Amino acid sequence: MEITIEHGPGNSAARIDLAGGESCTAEAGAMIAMSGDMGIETTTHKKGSGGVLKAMKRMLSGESFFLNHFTAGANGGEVWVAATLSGDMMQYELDNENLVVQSGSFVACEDTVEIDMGWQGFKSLFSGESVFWLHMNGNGKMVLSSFGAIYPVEVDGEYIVDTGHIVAFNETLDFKLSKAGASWISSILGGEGLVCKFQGRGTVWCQSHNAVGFGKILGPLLKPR
Amino acid sequence: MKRVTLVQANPGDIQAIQLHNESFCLQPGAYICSTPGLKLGVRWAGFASGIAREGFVKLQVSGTGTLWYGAYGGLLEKEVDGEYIVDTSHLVAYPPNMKLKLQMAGGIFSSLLGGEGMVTRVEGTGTIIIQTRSISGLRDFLNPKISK
Repeated sequence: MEITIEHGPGNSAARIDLAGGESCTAEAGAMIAMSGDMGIETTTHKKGSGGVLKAMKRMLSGESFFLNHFTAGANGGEVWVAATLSGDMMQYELDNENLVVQSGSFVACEDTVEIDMGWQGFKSLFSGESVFWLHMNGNGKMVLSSFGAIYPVEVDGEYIVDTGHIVAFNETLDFKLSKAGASWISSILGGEGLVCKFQGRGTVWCQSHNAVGFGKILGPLLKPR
Repeated sequence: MKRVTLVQANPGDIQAIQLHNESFCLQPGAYICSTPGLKLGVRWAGFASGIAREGFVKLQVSGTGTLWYGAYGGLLEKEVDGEYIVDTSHLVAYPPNMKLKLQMAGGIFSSLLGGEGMVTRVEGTGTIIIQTRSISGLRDFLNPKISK
């Protein structure tokens, strides 16, 4: 599986080249074009693992209930995938390690990568910002997307990131969800709802824009039909 | 010399193509402008296309001159020789000799639940133009956020 990202940073799309019979897993709706003989299969879970419970957890997170699996024909093939909002993409290769990915940033991965939903506790519901993360582990390549630009931050010690601006981070980091201000009321009213406090050594990939925030600005301005 | 500036409403790439006594088909909304030697015509796109909300007719530009068209997002040029599948909302333009067939992405299950909906199977030889974002994708992002 080879990943090529084009048209970055604003209009990025990724071409995934698959060898004959090779498969990849993608977020439902991410495919924009593909080879004519590409097989497509929709499941509620990664092939051969998990089940309906995992899918329900995924749906709670605002992710789709379903995942699509693309399998190349005998001569290989390609799948183009992209995110909905304008922004950049990055590729990452898991080397027997864990990476936590913000659910909206997941685009596609090799079928050797395990995907599991994480539950970040009631704090995330209480704050009105649903924080749901995918725990990716194993070996293999993946494509992630951002709303706006992606920039890595090497953490050594302590670092704080607004939850809406996290793309992914190494699970070598300890993390704790917490309020930004001194009290819950001030953090919710102040607009800095929920932050993630990281501790240890590792990389956090951040995005310059916040999709949840963008939705909150536009939502009240739109009329229900 | 006078200057006129033409743009499209949505953010995205604009591209030009030179036509020499030939035709080029555009999906609804992609056309921006063309030189006087080019004629704009509409062709029946088929019931399936209309039902999939892609329009019952399609725009066909014919003649000799320059045609400018635009996209929502970036433009990908894909040389097709044989078959290729494009998410219907991402297809921008294609040569008229190519056959388009609207179909479901996979089985009924994949198409209705898998989020890919309808796809277009493009058959023939030629270069097709694909956009990296889609307005219907933006719509699906915004719809759940509308305050009731």
